[in-house]
Amino acid sequence: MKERTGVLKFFKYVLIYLLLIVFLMPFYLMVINSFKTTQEFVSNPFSLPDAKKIGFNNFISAFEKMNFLKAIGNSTVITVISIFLILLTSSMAAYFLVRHKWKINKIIFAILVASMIVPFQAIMIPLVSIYGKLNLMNSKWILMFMYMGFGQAFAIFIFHGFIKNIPLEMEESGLIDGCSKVQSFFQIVFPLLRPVLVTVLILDVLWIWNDYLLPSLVLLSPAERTLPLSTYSFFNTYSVDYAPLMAGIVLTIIPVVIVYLFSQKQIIHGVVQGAIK
Amino acid sequence: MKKRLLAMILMLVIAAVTVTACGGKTADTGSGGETVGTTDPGTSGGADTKKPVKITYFNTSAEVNTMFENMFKRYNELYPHVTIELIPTGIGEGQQEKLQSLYASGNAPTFMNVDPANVIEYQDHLLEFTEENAPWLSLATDGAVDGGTFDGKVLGAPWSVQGYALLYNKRVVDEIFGKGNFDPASINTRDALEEFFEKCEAAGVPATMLHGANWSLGGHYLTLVYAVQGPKTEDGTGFIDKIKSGEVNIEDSPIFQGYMDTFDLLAKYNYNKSDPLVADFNRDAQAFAEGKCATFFMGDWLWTTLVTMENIDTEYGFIPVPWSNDPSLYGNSEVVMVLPKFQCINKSQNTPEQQQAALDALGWMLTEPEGQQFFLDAGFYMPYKNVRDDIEYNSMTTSIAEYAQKGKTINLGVFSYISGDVWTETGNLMLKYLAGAIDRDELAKGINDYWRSIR
Amino acid sequence: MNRKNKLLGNIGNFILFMGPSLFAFACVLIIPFLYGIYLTFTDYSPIRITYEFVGFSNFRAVFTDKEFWQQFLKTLGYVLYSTIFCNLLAFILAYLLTSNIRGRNFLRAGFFTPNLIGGIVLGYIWKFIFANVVTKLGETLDYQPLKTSFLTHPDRAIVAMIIVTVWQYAGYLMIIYIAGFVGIPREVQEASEIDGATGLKKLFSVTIPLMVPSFIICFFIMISRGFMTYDLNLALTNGQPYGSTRLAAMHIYQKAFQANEYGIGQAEAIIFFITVAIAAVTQVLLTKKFEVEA
Repeated sequence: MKERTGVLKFFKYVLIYLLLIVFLMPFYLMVINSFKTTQEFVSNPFSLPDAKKIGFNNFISAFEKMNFLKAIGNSTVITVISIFLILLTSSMAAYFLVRHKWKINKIIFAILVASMIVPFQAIMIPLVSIYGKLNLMNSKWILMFMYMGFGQAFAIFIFHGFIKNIPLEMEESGLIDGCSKVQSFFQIVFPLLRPVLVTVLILDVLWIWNDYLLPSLVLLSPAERTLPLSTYSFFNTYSVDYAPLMAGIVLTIIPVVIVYLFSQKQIIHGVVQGAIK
Repeated sequence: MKKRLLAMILMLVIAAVTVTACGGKTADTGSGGETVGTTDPGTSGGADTKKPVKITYFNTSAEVNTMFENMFKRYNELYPHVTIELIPTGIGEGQQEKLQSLYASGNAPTFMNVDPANVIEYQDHLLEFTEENAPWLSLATDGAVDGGTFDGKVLGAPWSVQGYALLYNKRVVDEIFGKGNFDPASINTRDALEEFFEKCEAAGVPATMLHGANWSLGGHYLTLVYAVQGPKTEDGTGFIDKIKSGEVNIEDSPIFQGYMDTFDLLAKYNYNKSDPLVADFNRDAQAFAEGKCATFFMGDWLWTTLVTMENIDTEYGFIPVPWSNDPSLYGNSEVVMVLPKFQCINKSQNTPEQQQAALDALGWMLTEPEGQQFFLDAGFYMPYKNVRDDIEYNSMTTSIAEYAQKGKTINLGVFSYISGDVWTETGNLMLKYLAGAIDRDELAKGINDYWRSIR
Repeated sequence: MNRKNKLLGNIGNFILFMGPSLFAFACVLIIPFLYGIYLTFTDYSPIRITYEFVGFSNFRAVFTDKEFWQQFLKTLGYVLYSTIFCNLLAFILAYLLTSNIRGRNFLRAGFFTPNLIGGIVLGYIWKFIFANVVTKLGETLDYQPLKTSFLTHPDRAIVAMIIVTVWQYAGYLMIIYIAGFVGIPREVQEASEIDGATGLKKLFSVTIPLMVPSFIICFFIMISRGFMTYDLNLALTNGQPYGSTRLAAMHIYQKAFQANEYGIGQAEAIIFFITVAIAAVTQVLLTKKFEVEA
């Protein structure tokens, strides 16, 4: 009996690590290539960089060409504020939609869900022409407002499902104690949503941090550029400057990796909290 | 724990805002109050007011964004009241969408570097270059402005000349034929080309390479069929009009059949024969530069991709792509010279002062030695009579220039009239033909149908 | 009197809780969308200076655009396969990675990494892999089908798109499933174990029913993202070989911006949206019936 479970476990590990290799392979390519030249990469993608030639040249040129400090500053401000706005407003909205099963709420929910399927091209030109006519372009703040609007549907959708899992009794005891709706939300429901909040946070961070199209339409001047916009300077009309591009991408994702690792701790923390509850 | 989280986030935001503010001067205040597209109150445009003017420039030649940035910085040093802001674009497809969204939002660039197809599309928005407002344009070499002229109005100013045909690697060819034995002028019939290819194969060197992309086969190769109809641009556009109206089918033209026979020849000896549609430009460029094949159907812009490589060949030349066996016919001993991009100025969505500033800037860029130097340093060949003649161009561009001096070039003016998605659609048909998915009759039918379906 | 107060209170709460959210949503999505619909009845294009009303002519043109419908069907197939495989893989990964396995955090991070890169760059890297790495593999193993790039044959190119999509989203869906697993109250799990349910039995009778919200979300994400795939399509195949992998969103985009038929492209986008919206909303509303409240 013990042997069988041991063999099963072994296969489980093998399968997982094999999958992991496939999953991480493109990253391996990216990282080792950021130390090689484009020419070396094209001839032999898998080779380790030449020990004599290892240097941070690619990183330095990427850093300069991308105007990295400014770009990461822009990206950070936009991402942090947009996410804050999204999480706050959408969790409140989702809570309201779940707790009040009115007809209008059902309609609103259906519209939100349907909106997630609208292809961006369908609203791109109208969006840009409306905001252009109102002279509201080329501003970080407008961009953040847009992210807040675009982020509602997905966040509300996810929160909606999870709030349903929170028993009503918990809030009712709060109401009896004299809490207002707002207080009961922030003090009782909100903390319980932690795993979901963090999950939506990390997914939205990825979306906004890596987003290219919307910033390229709204932010017109070079000073306002976000990281993805600066990375695309490595794409030429026919060819691609792979080496500095890889270095640029590596630089771009380091902050996100940090946020992700940090968020994992939060999710686990949420598990422990839930157990104690 | 939550408080600490909040505090951390707050600190992060403060840090980020500080970095953003300190990380360089902002050219724009973010509140959307832009100076492009708003009418200037008060002063009517006197030509020499030193009032500050800001103009924007949209560039579709992605690989030289930095060149333009440096150029505009220098211009600002010379003329401090004029600020030019570059709107760079990256990946190919996104350019059209970006330009259209700029127009849609009322933020059309003051002036721009675009394809001739865009010049046709946006002609209602463009400022006409005349003797009065652009006297410097008369310095352009003969015929250079033709590609930017529509309905008799000059809407686009040329700035670079490129060429394409069959590139050959001098070192490789010398090794096959013996040094100095190969005369590029000897390739003026298809039979001569075939003989040349066979010699390469016999020496163990793949004879040629085709880049399996729709812009190369549809935009460059197929366009030869239209361009060689006659030496004047109207010959090509007239032919296309006849196809559109149904008067003529493309397969009726012996030039079409000839070029397709040559194409078959190229496909037979294609280095990429085992998988012709991969179209990895980095890979093909590298293979050619490392001498893995003797010739490549490509243009002199290839050089910019080669400059970052080491241990490669640097001596190249061009041979024509013959379409028949009669050396006296137009096209058999010529290479293509094309003006692929034009500078245009918008007259909609900006002020007369901005237009004047753009005119002055263009004049400086294209005809003042200091402005021209930026282009020349980047390796561009400029079609202006006052360009300094002590420049050493790379071997590819030099070869094109030699053909030009002998008058042996194919006028690709018809290129300017091909707009929209012609390259992609007819190019896709060529790719199908190359991969053997359709035969020549189906290819011709597809091309005919395409021309007849667009307005 | 009390009723009136309650109504006012409810409206007040509505504005407080939903106000900002709905305001932003309306300004950024609803209004442009409606304006976009209006534009399909005109011959508006960003290139033109003036435009006029043309009624339904754009819509009529959509029905004669054969390629649009062909690509629509292809997109359906692509969405179906990628949704099924991706969800399967993500669920298995989440299940394995919430059980007792060493290096759990490291593995979770590892499988999530594909999401760290944005769509276009990801596509270019995989394009490079299919063209150069996979083919090298085919050479060394001397396995003919791998010797030519996946991306040069119409059928295999779609398979390549599916592979990359699954790779990209498996980690994304995985963390939603993990949140779902983690959100199952411990008492419920312990209670079922006391009742004798273990392993697979527990999985099917307890875990999966309580995970229905996660299923709904994940299926919906894959379906909607699948239909809207553009970045990956552009970078990985760019519609090649010869236009065969031009999925619906790319076709619409090409019509609107490259062929300069903005009105037709916009009309196609709307028709596309309506069809897919009906399908997806139906999916959500139906499966919501399976939701179990704790």
